[in-house]
Amino acid sequence: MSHNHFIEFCNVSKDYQLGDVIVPALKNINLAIKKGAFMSIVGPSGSGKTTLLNLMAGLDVPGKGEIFFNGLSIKNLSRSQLANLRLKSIGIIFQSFNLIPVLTVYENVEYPLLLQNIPKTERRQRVTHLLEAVGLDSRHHHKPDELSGGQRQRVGIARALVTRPSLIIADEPSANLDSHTALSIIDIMHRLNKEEEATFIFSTHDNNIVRLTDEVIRLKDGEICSLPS
Amino acid sequence: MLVTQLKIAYRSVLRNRRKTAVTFFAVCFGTASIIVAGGFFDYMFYALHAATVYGQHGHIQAYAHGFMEKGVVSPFSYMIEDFNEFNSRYSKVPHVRFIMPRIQFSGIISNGDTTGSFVGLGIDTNKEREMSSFSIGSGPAIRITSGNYLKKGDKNVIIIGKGLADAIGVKAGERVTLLTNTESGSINGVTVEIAGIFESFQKEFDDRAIQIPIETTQNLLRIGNKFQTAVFVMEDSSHVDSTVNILKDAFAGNGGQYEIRTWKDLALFHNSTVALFSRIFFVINIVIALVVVLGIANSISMSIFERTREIGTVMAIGTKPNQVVIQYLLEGIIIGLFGGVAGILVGVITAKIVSIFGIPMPPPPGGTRPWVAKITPPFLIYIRAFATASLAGAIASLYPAIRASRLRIVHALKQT
Repeated sequence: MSHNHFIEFCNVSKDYQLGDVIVPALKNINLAIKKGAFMSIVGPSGSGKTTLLNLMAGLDVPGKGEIFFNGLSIKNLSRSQLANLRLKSIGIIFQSFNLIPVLTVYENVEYPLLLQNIPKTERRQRVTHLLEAVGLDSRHHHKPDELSGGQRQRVGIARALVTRPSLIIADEPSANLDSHTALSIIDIMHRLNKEEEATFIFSTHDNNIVRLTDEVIRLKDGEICSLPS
Repeated sequence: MLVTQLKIAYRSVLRNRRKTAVTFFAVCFGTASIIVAGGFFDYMFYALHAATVYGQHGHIQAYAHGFMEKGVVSPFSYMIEDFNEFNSRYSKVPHVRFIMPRIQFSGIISNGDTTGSFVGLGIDTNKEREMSSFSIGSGPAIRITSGNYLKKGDKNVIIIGKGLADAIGVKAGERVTLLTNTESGSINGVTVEIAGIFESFQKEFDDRAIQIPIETTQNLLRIGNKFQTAVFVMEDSSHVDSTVNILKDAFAGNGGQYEIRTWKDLALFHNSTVALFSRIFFVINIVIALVVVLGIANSISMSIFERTREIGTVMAIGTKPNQVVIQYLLEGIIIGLFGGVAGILVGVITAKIVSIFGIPMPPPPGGTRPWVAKITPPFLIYIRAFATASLAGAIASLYPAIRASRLRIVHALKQT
């Protein structure tokens, strides 16, 4: 069987053990996502959004089934191989920004490029370009705790995009932001989706944001209710 | 990447100042303790070495071939014929300050009422005085407690060890009779005046020793100009090994008629004391290293606990597990290095201040006099202390660092 989609979930299930109780987080998910998508995953709390995104990002492994990334099964990859996959192909934007507190804005965005051993000149060019793109070109030397929530999330977006990944995963990227800032963040992501040709998949509760996405996956109780057409 | 990891490590260490300060002071205190303890033991070893060399054996001793094996049984069979000839031949060896003759013999000493046994040392009074006046931290190596030292040209006078003088009840200025066997086996005696009473650093030596001009000794033993031991006194002890090699070659070229021993070969008390205290210092080092390791390990473990989400984040971004290990190893090493440098400074300052005042010490086991200790850390102690601190930093952070690298990313990201 060929797996030609950008991301493909085949009969994927994931359970969590809470004490003596096994809680199913995802049940028999089958899913195919094409490259360049700007997609939201919606559903109530506990519906499995974060688990689905963690599996897509290679942060967790499925209990059952198989996940293909660009046709490559990630089932048997080691921790180092998964780290390499994330470093080269996946950008992650976190709900709580998760910037490295001791690094400046510039250094936070530069960090993944250092992991990739990108030369200094190219690093400077890419970081400067992205910080300009997210409107933080005057904040290079600020530390994360000197920024507002919206500014921190923009740094997070720049960091996720700086390695030019083919997939960007964001778990509720606007949850800790006010509605105005949230919309501007999604706007930036949408623009970068077009400019950088990266696939964006993110979870959200916010219907205003869902309306801005091209495709929507709806989850309930660990199962997909509706797939993008 | 390593530069950025260093940057993160350095800034993370500085970020939590209070926690870092506690660990930093533990490392600093540990390093300084090693330096101060090492400096104390080093001075003690130096003082013991000086007392042994300048109060007893000199740096090198040469004897007629065969003396070391059979000299105890038959001392007169292994004498050197003429000191002047020996001296003119070997006193020009580099770093030799002077050579002096000695004859050791034993006999009976009596003041008419009380009789005891003695071990006598026939000496060149001037040279022996020059050597024994070397200060060992508690005064000269041989100290005259009453009366005077022997002078050049003295005949039929002795100085006597304090313990022996007390045992037979004699004082400076009194006369005693010495009886001993001559070279031919007959008994000879001489009445001598006690010029002074001396005290070395070792009670056992003072309980039985007398020193007597070598000419008087040669007459008493009826051995003409012969002597038993040529004592080499060097400019300092660092030249002993090289001089021994030169002398061995020179003696071999002379038909192998002489054999040599260094002060270390003769200084059994010194050697056993150094061995004992070196072991004690080693144990102290281990204890201090453990304290430092536990301090840093605790600090790094707390840091990892507090920064679990940060670890999850960098791993999610693509940092490999081994890079996480390096990250936290660097933090431990930085604390170790900085604490080590500060510890060296504190150690140096403490050593200087303490050495100005000195530490009053009781006599060592078997010793005769209290002494004043100083702290004189040798360069190697600084290296050792610094290496202990930085190695402790690396070792202490290794386990927490490995634990951090094994965190499950999704769990780490959930931590607040």
